Amino acid sequence: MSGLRHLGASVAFTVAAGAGAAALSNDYYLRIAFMMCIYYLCGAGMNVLVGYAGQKSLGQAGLFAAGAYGVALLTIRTSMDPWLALVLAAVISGACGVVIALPSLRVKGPYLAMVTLAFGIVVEKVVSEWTDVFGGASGLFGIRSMTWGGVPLTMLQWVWLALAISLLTHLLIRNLVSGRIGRALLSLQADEIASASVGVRVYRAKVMAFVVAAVTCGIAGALVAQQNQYINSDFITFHLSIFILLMVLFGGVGNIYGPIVGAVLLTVIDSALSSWPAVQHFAYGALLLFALFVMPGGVMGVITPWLARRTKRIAEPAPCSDIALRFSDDSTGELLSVQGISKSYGGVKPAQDVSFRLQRGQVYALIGPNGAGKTTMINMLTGLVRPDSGQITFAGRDAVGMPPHTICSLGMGRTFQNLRLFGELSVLDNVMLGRHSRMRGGFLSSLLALPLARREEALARSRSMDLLGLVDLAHLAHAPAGSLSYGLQRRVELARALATDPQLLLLDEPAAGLNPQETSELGDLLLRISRMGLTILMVEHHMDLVMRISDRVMVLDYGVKIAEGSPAQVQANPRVIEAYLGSDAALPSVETIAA
Amino acid sequence: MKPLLELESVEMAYGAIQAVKGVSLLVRPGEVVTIIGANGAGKSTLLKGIVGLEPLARGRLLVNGQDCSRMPAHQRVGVGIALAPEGRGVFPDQTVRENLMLGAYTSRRNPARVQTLIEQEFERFPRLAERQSQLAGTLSGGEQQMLAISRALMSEPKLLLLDEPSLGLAPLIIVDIFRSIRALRASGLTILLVEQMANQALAVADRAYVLETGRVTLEGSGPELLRHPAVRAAYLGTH
Repeated sequence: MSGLRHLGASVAFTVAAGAGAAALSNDYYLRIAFMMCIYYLCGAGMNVLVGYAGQKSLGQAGLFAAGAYGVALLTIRTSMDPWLALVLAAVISGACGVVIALPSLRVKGPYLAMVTLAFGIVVEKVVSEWTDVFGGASGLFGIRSMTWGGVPLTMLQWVWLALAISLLTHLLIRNLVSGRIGRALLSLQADEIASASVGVRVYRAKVMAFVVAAVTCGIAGALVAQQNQYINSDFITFHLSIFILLMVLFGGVGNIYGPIVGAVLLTVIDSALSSWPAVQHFAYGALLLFALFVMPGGVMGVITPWLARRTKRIAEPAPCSDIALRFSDDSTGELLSVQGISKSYGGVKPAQDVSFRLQRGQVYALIGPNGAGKTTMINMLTGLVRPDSGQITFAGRDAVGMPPHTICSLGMGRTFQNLRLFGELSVLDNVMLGRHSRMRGGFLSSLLALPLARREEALARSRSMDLLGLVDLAHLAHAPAGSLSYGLQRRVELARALATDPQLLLLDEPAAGLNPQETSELGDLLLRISRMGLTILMVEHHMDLVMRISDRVMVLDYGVKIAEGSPAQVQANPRVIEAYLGSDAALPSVETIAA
Repeated sequence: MKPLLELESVEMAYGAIQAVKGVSLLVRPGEVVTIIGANGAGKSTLLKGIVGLEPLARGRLLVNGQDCSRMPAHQRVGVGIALAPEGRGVFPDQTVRENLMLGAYTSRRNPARVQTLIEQEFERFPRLAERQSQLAGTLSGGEQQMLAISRALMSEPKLLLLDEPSLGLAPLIIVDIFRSIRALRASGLTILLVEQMANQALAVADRAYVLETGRVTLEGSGPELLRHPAVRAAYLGTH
């Protein structure tokens, strides 16, 4: 849905909901409507965390508490304006979000869930046991709430306020996840190593997702505290954390409308069952188990395929000249220098005092037997593996110890031997992720969909389509990358690496899985890219490709550089033949077999 | 002779994308048959269909005349089909020996038999014997490919499917791998080989099929296709 249509539809939906609420006379129903908005707020942020960044949290009740107790203490102990207190409560829970994000930088999956669970329990214990400050089970009274023209808000006005905040949250989160940042978060879920290698600052993106989830949850907590004018430790239970997670899963994780559906349906079910407290928990659990079993993608997972019947139109890129795609000017000189680099893993030594230099604009090949240390060399150059000793100078800067995303933004792009694509994302999104480090729009401009972010998004899209045209994949732009064959996925990786605007392109076995004809086409493409001003270093076993396009060939064996020179020199080198090519100088050619 | 494997108008799809559009082929006992074709032609998909990792949308799959179209993957191992998958797929955190034992999962109730099979594989690939207690993830690419083939052979298959055994291997090692394929063929094993190194594959194959966008467009003996002008232009890189 386009931006304006979506905005119109969202406002219309909210106004209709507000009008519907006005028709309800009963405070009980109004309260249910209010709680729907509250749970939506909790779910919306949680969806960014779980559905986009792929980080599970079971401690959301703790963040809810941070907001609720924050607003309570601020309005009871100070004479602060209640509106301002609401804003500060959001800030407080955002800070707590940073705290629970820290373990996520070290632990993953179930371990992270356990850590967040512990956070929730600690908060629950603090607010129930530290009675001097938090009042424990008897709670805190006298929370001041907002007024409208000096009069406290009526229940209907509370619903309207919650609806308005929900609408705003929905619009902001949609902006946030529909562009650069949403893509970066989804890439974390798929493959953190690949994310870092295309320039995503992995740690910062994770912290951001936790903070978004914390802020919405904190606002929800603060609204509940102010509406009730009372809060006690009974509000903060493990059950609440579970409820928030389930709501997101039930509605449809990773879908922007999932939390709305989840919040509405589960709040209704919860209220309907509240008349039979004896069966409530049982029925509730059974229903959820059943629902998640038959709809693993949640309610939205069932509905979306129906809505998406309209086939996406694929814009064929206009043929783009090589000049328009140029990567760098025709500067010459040294681009990369590697001095005496060594690395060992216990007894295995994939690099022993290796040195070489790469001149701008040339094509280099690194060859050698399997296990010679070629991939380790690429990993050291790109910052994934730290060398034990030696120096790497890239574009005039010392690159040892730099994180991968920094090296990427200095102009080093790479592909991986075993393909690290974001399989669930479309081919186009994969390539656009390559633009990540080249896009200036940050958190705020994405959140508010400022013109800068929108313009950059459009630019990135058109550049990515051009690159897909270059590798002849434009017709598959909207297919999930994981659905492509091995050889085509390699071309997606190449386009993604090119999207980072590299000066040096590192290719780890680009021709693996290609037949001779396709290998020869890849050779043409690489030569063409090289003429666009790119320096290429490739690890490759297809000797026909290596000999045809390389200006210089380096040979590694057991971590030692045993030869370097022109393709012809290397091919004739007895040490290379013995270690790598084989005594009858490679495989029988077609002619000899067919003859 | 009755075919060991027979595909009748097999169609396969990933969602809306049809990857295999009515393929019929057969493999007779003792033959080496190869499927060549460009990337995305549906070769690996077809192998996945044969071992049961992806369902057939239409058509029939017969093994020794028995219809196995709906048989789950783990049972197809029992009727004698084994796959050494693309990218090798060894279990990296288990030792070479453990990988081989997992390959003999169907004979797990007969430890003596498993032991004999392991000894046989160690004889076939002495490198694996040297490395038997090493974790499979620490092997070199060529050794992992040997292990993948050996693991497939542990189920004592009648038909061995090899998906791109040369992938990512150094020239010297590729020669070794094709030497092993020739030795397997000499021992009488039936092999269906998918390989990008079309010249190598056609040189070891009795018969071959060319797959283009999910359809068989050519078939013939290995030497015939090696000389076929269209095959040479499209797959052998000689114009």
